[in-house]
Amino acid sequence: MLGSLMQKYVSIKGGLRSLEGPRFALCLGLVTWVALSHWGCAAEPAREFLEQLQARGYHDVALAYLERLEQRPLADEAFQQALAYHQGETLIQAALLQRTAAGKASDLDRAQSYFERFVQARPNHPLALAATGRMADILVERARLLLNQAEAATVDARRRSELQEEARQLFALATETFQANQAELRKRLEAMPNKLSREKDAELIAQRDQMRADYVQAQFVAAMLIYEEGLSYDVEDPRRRQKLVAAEAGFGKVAEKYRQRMAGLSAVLFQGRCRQRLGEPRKALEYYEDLLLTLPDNDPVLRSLKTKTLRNAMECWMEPDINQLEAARQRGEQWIENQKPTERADDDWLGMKLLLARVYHRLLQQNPSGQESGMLSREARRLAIEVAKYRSDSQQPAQELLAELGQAVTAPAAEIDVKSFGEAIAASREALSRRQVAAQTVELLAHRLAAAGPNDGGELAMRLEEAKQQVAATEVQALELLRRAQELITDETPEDQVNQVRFYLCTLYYYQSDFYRAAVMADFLASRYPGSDEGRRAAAVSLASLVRLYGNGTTPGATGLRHRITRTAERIAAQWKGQPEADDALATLVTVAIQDGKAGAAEGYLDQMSTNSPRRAAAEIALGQTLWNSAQQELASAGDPDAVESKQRQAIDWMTKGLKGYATTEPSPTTVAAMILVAEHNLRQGQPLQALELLEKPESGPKFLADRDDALLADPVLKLRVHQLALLCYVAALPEAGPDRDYLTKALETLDVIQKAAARGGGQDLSGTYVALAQDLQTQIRQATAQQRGRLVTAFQQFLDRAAESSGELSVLNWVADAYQNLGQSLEQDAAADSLFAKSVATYQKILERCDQGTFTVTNQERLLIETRLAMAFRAQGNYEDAVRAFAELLQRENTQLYIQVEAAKTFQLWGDNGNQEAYLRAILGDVVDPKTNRNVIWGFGRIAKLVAGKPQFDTLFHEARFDLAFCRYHYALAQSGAAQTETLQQAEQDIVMTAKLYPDLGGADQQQKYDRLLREIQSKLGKPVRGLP
Amino acid sequence: MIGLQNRLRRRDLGFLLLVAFLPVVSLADVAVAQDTVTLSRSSRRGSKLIGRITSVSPTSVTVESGGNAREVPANEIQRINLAGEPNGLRQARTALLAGQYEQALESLQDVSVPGSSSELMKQEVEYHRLFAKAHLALRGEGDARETASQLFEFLRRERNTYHFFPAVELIGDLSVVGGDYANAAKYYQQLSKAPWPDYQMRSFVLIGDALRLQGDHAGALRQYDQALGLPANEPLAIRQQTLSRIGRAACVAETGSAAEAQRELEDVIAKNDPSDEELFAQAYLALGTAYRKADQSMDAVLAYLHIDLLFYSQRTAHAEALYRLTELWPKVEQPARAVETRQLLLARYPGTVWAKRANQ
Repeated sequence: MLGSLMQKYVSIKGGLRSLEGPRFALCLGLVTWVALSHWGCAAEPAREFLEQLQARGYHDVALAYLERLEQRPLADEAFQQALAYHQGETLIQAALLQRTAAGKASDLDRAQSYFERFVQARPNHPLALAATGRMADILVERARLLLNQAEAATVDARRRSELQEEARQLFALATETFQANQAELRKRLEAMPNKLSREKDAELIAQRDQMRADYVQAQFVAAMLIYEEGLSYDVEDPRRRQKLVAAEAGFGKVAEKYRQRMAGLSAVLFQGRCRQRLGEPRKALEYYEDLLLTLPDNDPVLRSLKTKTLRNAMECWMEPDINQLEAARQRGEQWIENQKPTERADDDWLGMKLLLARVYHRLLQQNPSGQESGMLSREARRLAIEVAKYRSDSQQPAQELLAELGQAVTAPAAEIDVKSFGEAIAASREALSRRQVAAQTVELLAHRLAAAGPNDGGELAMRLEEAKQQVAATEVQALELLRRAQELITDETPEDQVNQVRFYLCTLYYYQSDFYRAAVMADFLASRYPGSDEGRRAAAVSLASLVRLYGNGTTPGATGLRHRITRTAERIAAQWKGQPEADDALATLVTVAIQDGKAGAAEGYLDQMSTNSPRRAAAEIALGQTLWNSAQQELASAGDPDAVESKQRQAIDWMTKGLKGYATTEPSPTTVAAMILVAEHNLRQGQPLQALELLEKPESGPKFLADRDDALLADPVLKLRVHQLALLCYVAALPEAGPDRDYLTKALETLDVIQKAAARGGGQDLSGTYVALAQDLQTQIRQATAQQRGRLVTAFQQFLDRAAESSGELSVLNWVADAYQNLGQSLEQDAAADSLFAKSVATYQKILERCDQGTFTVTNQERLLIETRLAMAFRAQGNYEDAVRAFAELLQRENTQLYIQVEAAKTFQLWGDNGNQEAYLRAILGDVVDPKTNRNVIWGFGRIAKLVAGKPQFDTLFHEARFDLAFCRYHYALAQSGAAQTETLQQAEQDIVMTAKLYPDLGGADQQQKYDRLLREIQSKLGKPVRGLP
Repeated sequence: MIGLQNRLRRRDLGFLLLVAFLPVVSLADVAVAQDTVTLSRSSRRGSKLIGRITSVSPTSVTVESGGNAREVPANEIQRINLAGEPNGLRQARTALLAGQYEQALESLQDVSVPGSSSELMKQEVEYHRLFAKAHLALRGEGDARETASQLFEFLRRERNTYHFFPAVELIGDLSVVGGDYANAAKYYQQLSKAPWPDYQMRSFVLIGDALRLQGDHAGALRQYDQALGLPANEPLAIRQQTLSRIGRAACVAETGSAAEAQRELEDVIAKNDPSDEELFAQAYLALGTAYRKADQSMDAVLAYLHIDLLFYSQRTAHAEALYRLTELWPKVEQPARAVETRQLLLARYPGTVWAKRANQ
């Protein structure tokens, strides 16, 4: 944080060129590491107190505090040892708030002396390197100041030369410092133990990683200083070439070693710049092209590097030796098309736009009467006007280009002719009011443009562009006026008016995407004047700016920013409790807590939010989703099912609440995900209508969006999930169907959509849907009351009939046939069940028919399965003759299919159960002789048991077969009488006794019990003592 | 018989066939609602006890779970969630733990406890309502005397409440706010009857604080010394002794040697954890007093700023610190900051004695 503060100070307050490299990250890393030191040990809470004093702008008190700690060492040892460092840092921050250059210089001088003192006293302190880095930073800035002075028109050649020489001396001194830092870092890295444990040495590992990163940065900085020094020489001076070549080599080493790091990629850019500065644009382009190919477009950090690179590449393409204007045009246009609103005021973007304007101008000059001349002239002017609106290095050249293009030069800033603070603030208000109007116009036109047809957009686009330019122009004007107002502040100026200026300024900084300055100014106002209206409004600006600075959390210093966001939001929440600012802050805290995976904390913040806050619903949904994800993780890691379930319920409650409170119908990925989860839950709870209400909600329901191919459901997997869920809901809601609720048609339509989607995706998803449908069907019927059951069965049957009629798909028919069977098994009444079994049989027969006709193509295994199911359907129907015939046909072809043999034997057994005693014998001995082998095609339990005996993998099957064998024999005996019966009963007894002798464990406790029970029945029937198993 | 068996078998077969390719899905069972006793962090018994509360007294709560009854000392309880309690009560409890007293009252506003609810549930709703009102009154937003009287009435009626001792302490605090120090001492005295050493010590500390506020420094010192004379092995008891040291040092600063008080307070600060915000706010308040007495204005500013910047959640201490800062800022040549601080004091703590003093 402090590193970037310094960077801002240098580039904004000093009005100088920025270093363009990640040098300040050297300090940043070390400072961040120190800032991470924790609260919690017993001692004066010095670190936190100092941080708060600095944040409130009480730098004088902070310095007094640090002086007292020098006298009385009350803080912990680490803090005490770094007192001078903290004094230096505090002074740098104090310099930021100084209004005069002299004051700033004085603070910086003092800061430097503290850093020197610190390094002298504590050369081995972990912050010593950061302190020397800070001192070197100051040297470099002083060198740049001198070079800036040297470029002034009023400076004569001799003085210019002196200033340049003086600057080079400062560069040399800074170089020495950075080199020493680099050597020290290497030494410290080498002194680190080779092996570190992630658990035990976490702090050491963090230090090592930081030092490694710092070491890379240090190498980059070393090359950068040579580069800067080289530029300080005149173009003809041979030392310029010598230095730039050396710098290129230095950058080359960094690029080679650390190509995967930011420093390595930046080094490639600077290799190109070295060549460009040496007047070798072709060689420079080799570097730039390489980098442009490597860098992604949308990475927030690398995007800036890519813009810089493209800007430099465009300069090279425009060089007379190369003159590839079309390449510059094409690449420039392409990149500018993707510009983000936050990049509008960025120097590099403005520079690139200016270059593109020049490209258009050059193309126009080459062919003034060409077809494109009108467009080229218009575009060149448009871009130049845009660049001229912003204060940047490109502003003046843009105005010059406009003049060249024949456009009257319009001063971007207002003519500032105010003489008092009152006039200045009144004019500022007026400019801000105009800005507000223009901003509203932009919003309105943008909406209209989005809704306009392809042929109606031209005029709107032009008007939109004009409005945007007006916004930018009024911002520049207001900024100038506010700065003027600041200059006119006197001791008599009322504090509330001064605060108004501060508030306007921080708001303007925010509008202009200068979030850093916006945050600093707003925080100052909010923390020092919490009771004022400006303080309250500034709090919101402060938090919003910090959030924008934080971005997606990948920027340097993100950890520090995160802490600051939390602290600021907590302060706002406490300070303005119950007001919209507090609710916004709490919503931010909920988001941060959720990102940190702290659902409990998020819940706590949510509880504090006003119930009528417009931010509440989104926060509730987000919390619900976090809890849901957490529950899923726990489920995956075999967590306590009760706890998981409780968490899931909480998650659903939060999401349901959030969805109810969601005022807007504008759907988002978040609302879609939440609606799906809640609908799934509703369905599981037996509330399909509630689920459908969500899924079909006009304009935002997932099913509604899926049906109209909304981009939010572009992911085919997600879309399929929505259709599957809807189908399940429609089926579950069938009993509730009516004239205005044609769930049957909807279910069939959805099934059709799923089939088509599955066909595109290979059909794998379809089976899952069928499984879920079958399961749902079974569950509903099981849970239904007797009254409901009839209606349910009728509705399902109707759905299955329609599905079978309307679908020619094998998978659908297969499922329908199976579902008929399951449905039949759920029923108590034979007549209805028999009808369903008959339909199952008919459907399987239809499938086999189509297979025979070649309509369906199935593998042998699939056909075997279908035929088996057909045979089982016959059996379920009570048609044992056909069932046995079907099994026999099957087994004639596939005699060794054990599971089919078992089903065939069971069919005889069931036939026996249904009054055909002879069938029991066939269940035991088998039946249907194969004329070729003269052996039974259906083996029966006896042969099955014999074949699998002694094979451990079939142990269960063996005992089931042996038991069924004894069971069938016993039941066969019951139909006999006299001696025959006794003999058969004795055989049944022996079946069990022999099995027990040969296999004493009898397949486990459960099976033993079954054997025992049966044996007791047999013994009883025989008139023997009932003893059961021996 | 055979027909039924046949049907069952047919079902089994079909079910097995289906199950063979079905994913396992468990339907949510409705959990039986139970009472949950959440223990305070300092307790060593684990964080929660779930079961049925079978008895309640001023000193303990008995929870029965799985046939076992466990008696939990009342001073180890952070909160109790009752089975089937209204949402408003739960929300209010959360708000109270976060110091959001207005929100707690709002949550409780619509809570109606049916006649069939347990006595404990009714007690909980009423106590939480009174607790919120009392804390608002402590920061000057409500009638302290009336709230104290309502709390007293609550205790008279609900003699067995496990909130007994905290409620007694609250009545004492409300009496202090109303300037009725003698009455405060009477209630604080009740705390010494608790069976826990830390409560006995707290009784001395609070009486000492009340006497100190009356200007009876000698009497206050006696109370603090009594607390310091008791044996203290548990963290809670040690903490009370530390608060006694702070109170003692504040008396010494007022009446004797500011330097001695400073040394004592710096030692307290050096040896304790700043996450104990109440303790640290008291320590810096006393340190501010010591520096004020010694005419060391910037040091006093620094002491009070610790409360303003770090321990502002301690509202009573924060209000006093802000008041002291309004007096001290001009002495260190920052009159504008005095104006800002005064505005903050009046805006945040309008009904407090400190805001009234600032308005005089």
